[in-house]
Amino acid sequence: MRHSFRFLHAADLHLDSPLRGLSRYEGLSVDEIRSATRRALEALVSFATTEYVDFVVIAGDIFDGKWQDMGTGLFFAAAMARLSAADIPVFLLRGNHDAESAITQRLPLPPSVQFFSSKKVDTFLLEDHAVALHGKSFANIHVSEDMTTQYPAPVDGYFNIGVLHTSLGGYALHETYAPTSLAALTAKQYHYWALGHIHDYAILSEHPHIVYPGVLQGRKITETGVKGAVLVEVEDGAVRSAKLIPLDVIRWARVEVDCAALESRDELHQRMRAALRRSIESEADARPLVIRVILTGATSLHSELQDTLAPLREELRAIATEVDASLWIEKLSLATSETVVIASHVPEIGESDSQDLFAMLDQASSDQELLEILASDFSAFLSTTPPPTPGDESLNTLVRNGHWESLVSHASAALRARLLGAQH
Amino acid sequence: MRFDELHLLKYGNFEACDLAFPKQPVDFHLIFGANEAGKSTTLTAVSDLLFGFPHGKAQDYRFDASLLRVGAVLEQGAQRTQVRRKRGRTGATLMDGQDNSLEEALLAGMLSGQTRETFHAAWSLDHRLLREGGQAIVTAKNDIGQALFAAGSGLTGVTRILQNLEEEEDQIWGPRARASRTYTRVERELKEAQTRLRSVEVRPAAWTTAHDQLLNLEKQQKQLDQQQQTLTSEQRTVERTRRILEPAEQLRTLRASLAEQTFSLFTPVMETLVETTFALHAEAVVQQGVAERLIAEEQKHLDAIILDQACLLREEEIQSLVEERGIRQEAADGLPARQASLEQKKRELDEALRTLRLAEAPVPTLLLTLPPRATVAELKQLLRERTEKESALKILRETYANTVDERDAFACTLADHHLMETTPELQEVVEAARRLGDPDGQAEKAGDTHRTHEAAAADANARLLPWSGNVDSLRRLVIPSEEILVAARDREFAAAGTVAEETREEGRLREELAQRKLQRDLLLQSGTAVSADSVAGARSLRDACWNDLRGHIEGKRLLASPRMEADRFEGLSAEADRRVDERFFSTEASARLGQADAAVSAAELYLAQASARVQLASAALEQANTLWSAELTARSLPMLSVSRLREWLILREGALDKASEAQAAGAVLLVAQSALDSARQHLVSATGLPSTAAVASSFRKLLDHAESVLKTALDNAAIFTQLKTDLRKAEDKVLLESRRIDRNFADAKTWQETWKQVIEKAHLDETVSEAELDLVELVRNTASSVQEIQHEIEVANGAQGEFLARTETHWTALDMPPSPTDPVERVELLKRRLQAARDDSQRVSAITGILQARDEERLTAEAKRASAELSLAPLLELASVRELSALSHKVEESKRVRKVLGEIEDLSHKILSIGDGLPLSSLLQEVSGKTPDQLALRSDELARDLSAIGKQIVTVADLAGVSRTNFKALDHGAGASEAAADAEMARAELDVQTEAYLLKRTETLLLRWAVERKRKQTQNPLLLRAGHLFSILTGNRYSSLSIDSEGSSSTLLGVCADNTSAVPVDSMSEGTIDQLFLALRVASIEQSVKGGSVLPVLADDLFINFDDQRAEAGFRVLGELAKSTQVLFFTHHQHLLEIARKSLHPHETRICNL
Repeated sequence: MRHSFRFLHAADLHLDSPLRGLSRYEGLSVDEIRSATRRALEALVSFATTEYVDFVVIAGDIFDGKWQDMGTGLFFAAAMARLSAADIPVFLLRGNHDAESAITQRLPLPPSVQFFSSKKVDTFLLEDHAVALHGKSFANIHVSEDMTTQYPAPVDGYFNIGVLHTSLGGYALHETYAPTSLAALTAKQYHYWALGHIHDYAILSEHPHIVYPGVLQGRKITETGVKGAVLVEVEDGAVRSAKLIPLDVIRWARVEVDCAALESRDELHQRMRAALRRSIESEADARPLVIRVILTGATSLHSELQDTLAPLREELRAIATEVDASLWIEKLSLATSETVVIASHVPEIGESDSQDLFAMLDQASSDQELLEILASDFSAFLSTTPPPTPGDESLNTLVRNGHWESLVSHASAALRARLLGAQH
Repeated sequence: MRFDELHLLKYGNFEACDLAFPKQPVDFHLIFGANEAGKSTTLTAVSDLLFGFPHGKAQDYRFDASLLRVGAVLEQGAQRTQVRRKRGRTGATLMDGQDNSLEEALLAGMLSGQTRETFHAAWSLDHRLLREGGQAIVTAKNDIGQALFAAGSGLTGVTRILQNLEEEEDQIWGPRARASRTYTRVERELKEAQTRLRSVEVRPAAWTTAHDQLLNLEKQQKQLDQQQQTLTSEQRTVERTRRILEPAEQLRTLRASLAEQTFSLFTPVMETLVETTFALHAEAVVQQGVAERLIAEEQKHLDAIILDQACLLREEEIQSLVEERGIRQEAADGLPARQASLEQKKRELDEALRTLRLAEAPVPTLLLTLPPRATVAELKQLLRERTEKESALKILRETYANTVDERDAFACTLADHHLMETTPELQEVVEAARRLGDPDGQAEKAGDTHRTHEAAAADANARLLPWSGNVDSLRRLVIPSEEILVAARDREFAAAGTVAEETREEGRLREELAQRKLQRDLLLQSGTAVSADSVAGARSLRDACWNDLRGHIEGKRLLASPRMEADRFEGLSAEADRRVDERFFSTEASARLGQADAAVSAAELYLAQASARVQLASAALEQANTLWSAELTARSLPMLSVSRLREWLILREGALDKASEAQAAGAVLLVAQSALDSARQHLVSATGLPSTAAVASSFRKLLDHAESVLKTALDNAAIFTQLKTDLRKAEDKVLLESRRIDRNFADAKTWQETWKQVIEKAHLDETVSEAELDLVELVRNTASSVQEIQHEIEVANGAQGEFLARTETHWTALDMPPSPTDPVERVELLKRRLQAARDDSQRVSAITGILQARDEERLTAEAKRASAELSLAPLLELASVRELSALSHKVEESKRVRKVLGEIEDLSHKILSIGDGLPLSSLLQEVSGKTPDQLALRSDELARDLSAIGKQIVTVADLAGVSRTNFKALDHGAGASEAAADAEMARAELDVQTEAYLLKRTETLLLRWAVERKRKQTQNPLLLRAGHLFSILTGNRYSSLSIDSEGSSSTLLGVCADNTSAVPVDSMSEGTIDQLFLALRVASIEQSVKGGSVLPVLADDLFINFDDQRAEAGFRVLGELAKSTQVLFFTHHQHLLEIARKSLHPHETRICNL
């Protein structure tokens, strides 16, 4: 019986879940994007086998809801078989997403891979290491009660690990995803709580260790930075270290390009290039990097940028390809502002008219009549287009939420650039 | 600026032609000239004067180009400037009246920045420019058109911008899907990916069914396989039994035959032994005879040899002499050299004794008096030790002095050092704080994350408007199922689609009705058509009147005034006839009117039907909305359409997720903040800072401070400890060095005593040196060498004498002849005799050996025969016979029995070889009682059963194969996830395209809105003024101008005098178009003049298409313009002079003749 061992704690694999927000374009490695979650799982298995970890715990959301492919489950089964061949036991817990799939329940897995039951709290004992793992899977998509009350007392003389898929967050009655609290977890007197569901890596407590490993592979722009699993080293029955092992194969990042005092397109290109290079050096870690570029700051190019967003996006993609073939652009977002008073740009001819027009554009966003025109005009278009991705700060989202003034504000800037260009 | 004078000094055909345009209230000047008089030349001269001679053109057909001159007196307010222009490539071509150069800026200032082109376009008008301008206005294409149109809208280039925007937005999205549109393309990609996804994604039900079916069939397969195996096993048993039936019977027969007879059975080994022993016995008899014969022959040879026994007895001594013979010879040869060496050594010895001042003595005596070799060596070693000790003592003394100095220095430093106390508690606190990493950053990051999540949650919640409430209430909402949503959406879509379609149809029909009515009204208003209703009406009135008259005539009723009624009847009859006639004469028009009426009626009918359908559809939509509203109300959901509710539900999911994330982030923040506070408090208390510092300072600063304090204390303690250690070490070292010196002194004393003892023992002087000791050694060695050589010479002489005596003894004893006498030769002869004796002796030995061997062979053969007979004795006894021949017979009998046993064994092997590995007893038991017929019958039965089950297996295997194929068909590799990924990519691009379209379309709508608003706001003074002038120019045929901004482009319209109709430009006559554009140009010039640009207007025969009345109006307009700026009107029409005078009366019309 050894009280010193190492294990890998992962969660939220979301196998075969597509990466979101990336448009297809020349230079984008579609195959790499399609297979990212699978390759991340392969990385996990390779790490476990080459580092000879003693066992692996996956705290829920192995799959992303219903399977789209049979291959999804077969791929996972093959990965588990590799761990089994390396004599590495695996303990799996079904999360809210896994509960969606009926097929998941019938997935044939090697004997060394064990699922925690969804009917009761299972306790698995690893006698070689004196480890007791307690866990209960989600039976349904939504679990509103605190499941930790069903978890048993720690097994005496064993290193006790609680495995739980939870959104944490307190004892509110209507919490959807097995709500609980740090106090409740601590009260169980386990040595380690292997949590899942939250997609960011976090060590919430060290006495005992309460750990979210985060998602194994970032899948959208809100899941930036290093993603992987937590390698836990236990020495003499106490956690000596719990560190995040990067296992993601594609990384997401947000890059802000300060356009302050920017006066030319070439200068903008240089700044974007420099920002992308910095990002590659600091964040890629030899992986393909998916970047959302956000232009910020006050610049005289504000209106022009608004009016030429589409070509600018192509320019940015070209720059990204030039900087590194593994650098992909998720989106170009404008958050710039105007620096100078428009009137100073108005040429002499037609000055008063232009001033009148620009004054109107400035006031347009508060003109109710115009906003009604827009609402009416866009009703047909919006009824045919799918709703935007939730949480995405796009014009589409703003418009659907009735924020027509934001749309008008953007369009005014773009139109101003066009009118000025025409007069020049 | 205006021209006061124009001087065509040398220009074209002109020379010294001066035209004066004195200023007057109406600054209108009419320049008259017949064809070829030079009107165009004069206009060109004005341009050349103002803007310089162009390179390509020249008016040098009369004068040389370099002589060309044109001049003027220009007025700008009160300022008069005389200028001249000459032709020239470069440099100043503008001059004053005295041909001095003038700056171009002078003219540029007067021209308000106009170029030749803008001046021509705006200020210099001829009929061509008017036409071009007109066309440009209609199409609003080129700069002129845009400039003129901008005059209507007040904006420049908006049409083109609008067009561009519309083209751009059209490239993205349009109401009708078109493959070239980016949105449509991406949407199609999305749909394709979704379709692909739907077609290849695995469906749980299908998967489960196929999986269960496959498992079931595989189970059936297994059962059938087991049955088949059982039958096959039995069949194998039956076939085996059939195979071994015959050999088993043979085996049984052989076993029975053996059982019936008695016999002696030897083992094969015994049989072989008997045969082999017989053979050995015979061979031994033969070998014994041969050996006895050979022994007799060898004995004869031995008896013939006589041995030299005397010589052989002295063999060793003789051999010794032979071997020593060489040594003795060599010793005799080396004796002189030894004597010489002895003499040399003696001389060396004498020399050494003299050096040591010792007396000569015999060598043995001398060797006894000299000190022993070990004593000399000991003395030399003592001398070397003394040298070493002396140098060591010197070094020790120096080291001792240095060590004392070092100790004193450490003592001083330590005395000056003050010890600071360290605090283990501080150290523990600092180490604990270090382990925390960056709690400031973690707390800040957690705070940022929490705020971000909170903001995102609040934002997500705010997006749920018109619904409002907290997260809990949001979660509690009962969400309609997908079926309800789909049904409601379908109802809403269907109803809304019908309403929209019917409304569109109604609108179309309404427009059609209005159009029909308008056509009918136009036909009616034209007066050329008479409708049937009109005729019927007239006839109806006539008939009514006739009925009254008829009643009166028939006495049925009484008219008050029959005559008047008769007159009215005639009038009505005439009217009816007139209408009939008119209708007859205007048959075609009336027919058209009739058709128009019918069309109106039909359109009205269709419209009424469409309206009814709209009402029905609206009611259905309203009902659907009511149902949906009730559904929403029941679930406390916001009043949204189904599609909006779907979006709202997605937003709700997002809001719930955000709320969960915010709560998790809050928990993280609390933990981080608590850790930070605790750490700061510990640091503050450990470093003794005031407690307020825990709040005021960051963790990093507190840790830095604590580390600094700790480091200072630790460094101080380390230095103190080090100093103490160093001092202790130095003191130890001093003591050590002192002890070493003492030890050295003790050693020196011991040495002295030893020296004295040894020197006394050696009988040498105390001051003896190492060199003298070396010489003593030399004397000893040389004396030893002398003694040794003397001994060698003595030994050699003794050995030679003994050699001679021994030779003589043996020579005499063997009766050898007297000569020779030389001992060496005698030894040679003795050697030869000894060799002969040795040869004879060897032959005797060889024959003796052969005899022994033959005797042994004889004895061996005899023993072998006896042994064979002895071996056969028990076998004879075993076989119960006495004679060897009887034994042979018994052996043959045993062999025959063995053969039978062999056959039995072969049969057994055969049975076992075909017995499927079963033991023989089992096989014989298996066969027992079986008959071939029985077995054949069972075999046939089994074959039938196996055949049947084989078919079943094939059937089930086929089904399993199909099932496996079906199950495998569900596996599309990674097709679905790839399709899902593709769909996500398309969706992302669709978001981008949506955003692009929203932006472009909003730009379009925004620009239209702005233009329309500005148009409405101002209605443009220029357009109003142009409209007024146009009214004047057309003799009030048109009242004003307006711009129709409907659609993507704007159209200029002339508003008719009745203000109810408008005529587009392309519907106007040529003259009216000229007047329209003159009005616009004049209005534009007036606006420029008001803006400060006052330049002369050059008008070249503008009234080509004007009738006199409108030409008169034209002069009035230009006269009005001339009140604010100079107008130079060029014409070759004589009648225009009169019209001008008439129009511009009472002002004087200034006329210049060319």
